Amino acid sequence: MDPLLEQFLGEARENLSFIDQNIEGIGGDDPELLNSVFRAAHTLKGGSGIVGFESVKIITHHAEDLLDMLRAGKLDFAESMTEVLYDAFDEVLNLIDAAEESGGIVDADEERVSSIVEALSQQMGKELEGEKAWALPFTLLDDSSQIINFPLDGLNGINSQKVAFLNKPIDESFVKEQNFYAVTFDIDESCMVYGNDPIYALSLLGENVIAISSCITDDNSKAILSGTEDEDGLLLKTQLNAFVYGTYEEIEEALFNFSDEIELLPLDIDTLLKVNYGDSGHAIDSLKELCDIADDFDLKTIASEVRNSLELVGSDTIQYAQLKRFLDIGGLIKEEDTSKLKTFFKSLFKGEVYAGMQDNLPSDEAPAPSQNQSESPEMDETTQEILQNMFQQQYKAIDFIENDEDLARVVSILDKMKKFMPEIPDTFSSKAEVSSFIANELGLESSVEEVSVEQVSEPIAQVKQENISSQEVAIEQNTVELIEEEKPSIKKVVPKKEDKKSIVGKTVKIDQESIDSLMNVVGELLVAKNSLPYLADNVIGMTHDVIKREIMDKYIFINRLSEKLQDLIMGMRMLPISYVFDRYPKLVRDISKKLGKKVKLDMSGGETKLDKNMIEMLADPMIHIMRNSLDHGIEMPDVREKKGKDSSGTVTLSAFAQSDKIVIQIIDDGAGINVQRVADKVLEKGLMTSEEIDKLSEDEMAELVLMPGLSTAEEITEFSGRGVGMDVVKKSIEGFGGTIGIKTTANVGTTITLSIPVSLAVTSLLHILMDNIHYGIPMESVSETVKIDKSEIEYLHNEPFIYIRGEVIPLLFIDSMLDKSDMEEKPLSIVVLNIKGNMLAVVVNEFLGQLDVVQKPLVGIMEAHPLFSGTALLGNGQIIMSIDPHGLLGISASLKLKEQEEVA
Amino acid sequence: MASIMVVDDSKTVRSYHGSILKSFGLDVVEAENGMEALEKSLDAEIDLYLVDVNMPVMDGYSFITQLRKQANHKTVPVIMITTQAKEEDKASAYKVGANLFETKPIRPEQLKAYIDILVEM
Repeated sequence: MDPLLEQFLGEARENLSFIDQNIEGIGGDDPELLNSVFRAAHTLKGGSGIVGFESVKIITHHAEDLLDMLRAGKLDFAESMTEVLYDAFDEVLNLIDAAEESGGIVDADEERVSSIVEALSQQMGKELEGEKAWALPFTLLDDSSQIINFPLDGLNGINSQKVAFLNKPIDESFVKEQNFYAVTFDIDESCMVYGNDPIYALSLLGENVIAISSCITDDNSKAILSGTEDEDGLLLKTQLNAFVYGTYEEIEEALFNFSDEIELLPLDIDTLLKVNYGDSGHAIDSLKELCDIADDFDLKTIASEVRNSLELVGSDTIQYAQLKRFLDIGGLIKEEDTSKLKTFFKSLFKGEVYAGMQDNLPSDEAPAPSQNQSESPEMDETTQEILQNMFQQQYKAIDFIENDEDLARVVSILDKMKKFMPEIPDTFSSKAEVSSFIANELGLESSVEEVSVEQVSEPIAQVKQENISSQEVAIEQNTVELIEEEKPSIKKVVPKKEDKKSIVGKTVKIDQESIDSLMNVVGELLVAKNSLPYLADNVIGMTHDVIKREIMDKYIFINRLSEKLQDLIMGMRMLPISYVFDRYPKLVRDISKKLGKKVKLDMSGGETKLDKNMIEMLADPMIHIMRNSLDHGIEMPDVREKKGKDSSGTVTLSAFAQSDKIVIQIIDDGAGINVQRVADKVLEKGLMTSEEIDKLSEDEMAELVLMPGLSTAEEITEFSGRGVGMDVVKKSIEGFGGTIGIKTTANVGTTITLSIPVSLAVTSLLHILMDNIHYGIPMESVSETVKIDKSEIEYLHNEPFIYIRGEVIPLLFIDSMLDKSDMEEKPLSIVVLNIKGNMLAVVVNEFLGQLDVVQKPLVGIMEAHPLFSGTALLGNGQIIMSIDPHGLLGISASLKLKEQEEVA
Repeated sequence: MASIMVVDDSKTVRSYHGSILKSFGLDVVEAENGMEALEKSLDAEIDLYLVDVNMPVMDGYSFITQLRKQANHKTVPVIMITTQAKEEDKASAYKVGANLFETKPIRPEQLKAYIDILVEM
């Protein structure tokens, strides 16, 4: 994607979310709030113009106008405005989304855009175009002396009275047609800082800009024109004058960012061009002259002719002064050049440019066609120069000879030169021959010449070789083209692969402080690294114990640093969860509008930070849950009223940190999940037996909706209810180590709680050993580790359990995984797990401590393994299996079942 | 009498070169762009082309490429005229089939020399 567009999209998102959050309050007492919303809209408009996002520009432009009128007190706030503004900015967000997805600017639905614009205009009390009395769309310059004094002030012979400013009334048709305007800008010195470059904006008008000048100095204006102005210069507060030929619409379009700063003064071209001869004491009036040359009175054509003339003569040798008048408008020409210009134009117009010099030429007679070849005509210096130049050019052209035609072309020129240079041979048989001849003439000792000496002795072979080499060249070129053709196609494929919808931009903003502390830690790490070679040098003569201690010392030091590094870098990856939250107000509005429901969205905890990747992954599941709440949870307004609830429902989104987890709650005050209906569905689909269902607690019943292939909504709506809902959500949340919980009360509402790890990258495991195999148990499930003597194990209904601080905890022996011989005569090592509130004690052979690892998920046939959730590498390269605590619960349950069966 | 075609989008440039050429007693055919020049090249017997690079509708490079495709225009001299000549511009000029390259404006005495060399009077 175009980096400029990418930056704009990122910024637009920020601004839109700001607007979205604050638009509700613009009718309030705080004028600063309205101002800040206005500024955000203004920035959006400016940015969209710069990247050329037309539809966004149009919408934001009108929204900005409305906000501006509110700000200025020209309009009173009305509730309906919020609605309209929401609509407008929602559409902008849609467009931004679409642009992000497609990687470029997208075309908007014009009807939609114009309906939004219409709604906004109605709020402003403006009727649509044509239906209302026409009004001048721009600010007229009230002080025309500004223009008269500058730069026309210094005009020779033409004073301000003679430059005709439009006296006739300005009407609609005048504004619609192309006209000549003097435009003045009072540029704010900070405009460049905000990226509003007036010169660039003017350049959008292209050839329509006839002259630009600034009020600083003539030199400065020239510098601006030539683009050599330095940055500081443009930071100066200055006034710019531009003479623009175009319709008002075109001017406004290019200069929309400056609409507050520009003033226009329509000029009368006809009068301007019809200044009488002699009026000013000049024999010929330059503009008149130019008009005749250009055959019409179109100022634009004249301006381009002026440019061509400048090109023709070269800017350093300005010799035609009759342009002075014209150029004077732009303050571009010096007094002393006038006479030179005058002569030039006078003579040019009469076609006498050359006539005057012909007498000076040594030979007026052209070389006679009958001239003998052996007899070269007299040559003046210029002809000699030209001949030399032609030789040089032909020598270069040889490089581009690819076929006989090309060769013939070069030879034909040499043929023509022969009448002045008899030494040129009559015929050339090959490229090399031509090349060697010219090189010789030019006095070049080239390698080509050497080759040609050999080749002359073998002309036939040489010609063949020539053919071959030209073929080779052709082949080479073909392959080059092929490769070049392939490149873009590869490029096209790559972005498609990366096309995954990304919520968060690829860039991360990092504060200076983080970088500084990162730098400090890296510095310390370097010191620590340097101590290792030192240790290596001194290792001889140390006892093993000493070496061990020394290495452990270093290890502790480096370990501390790497932990710090990890913390810092993880911190940089953290982003506020508002990145996800900010999308929801619009979503909620969209959906509730379509469903005809009234919904209020409360959000809190948007500042809670979460890993960047995690935020990406959360977005979709969250949307799903929200949709469910809106679609199935919140009732229609009339239903709610019957139930005695407020007619508008509330969805509350909150996020907060809880130890090393982030908890996100989506709470609605809707109808709640009809647990009985879910249970019926489960039965009906045969997913569980009625006995199994009867055993479930109320909460567990609610969680049945997470089972695959279940949808309780009677109707499938656009937003949810295709039966592939919550189970997918559950899977993806658990996919990155999170959990999902549902609590529901009929007619009070539903609370869905997502609990997710702060970061994906590193997991903490409790490192355990069972039968000499290493395993890890996620620390978040480990409640404590205890050593208990076997005698303390108690049995209830034949099932072992232990007491810890008075609590009864079932004990799990996994016989097949344990080394029983190791466990005799020793107290048992027991890991106490807390798995979603279920306590379980698991006997292991040994605990080895805590491990921070990068966990890799299981793939292939191991993917859905009931007991293991992933693998990780130990420091010594050994693989460690990570145990899924839920799997342990499963084993515990199946063991119970087995025993029960055995007992039975 | 020999004819020269001046192809340039600027009327000023055309009149400038045209008036000089006329003063040598040559026929001058003017064309505003490559397309017009191409059409006129079919009707008239032209002895030398002066061709601008940047023109609307059809630029100088495309014009020369098309011109060289005509059987009777394989070797007719073509001078490309431009404001500033960079090496790569020259390279593309030779590649499409221009014979020579000259910087605007061609001074009258230079133009005279070119005519003397390239055009049979």
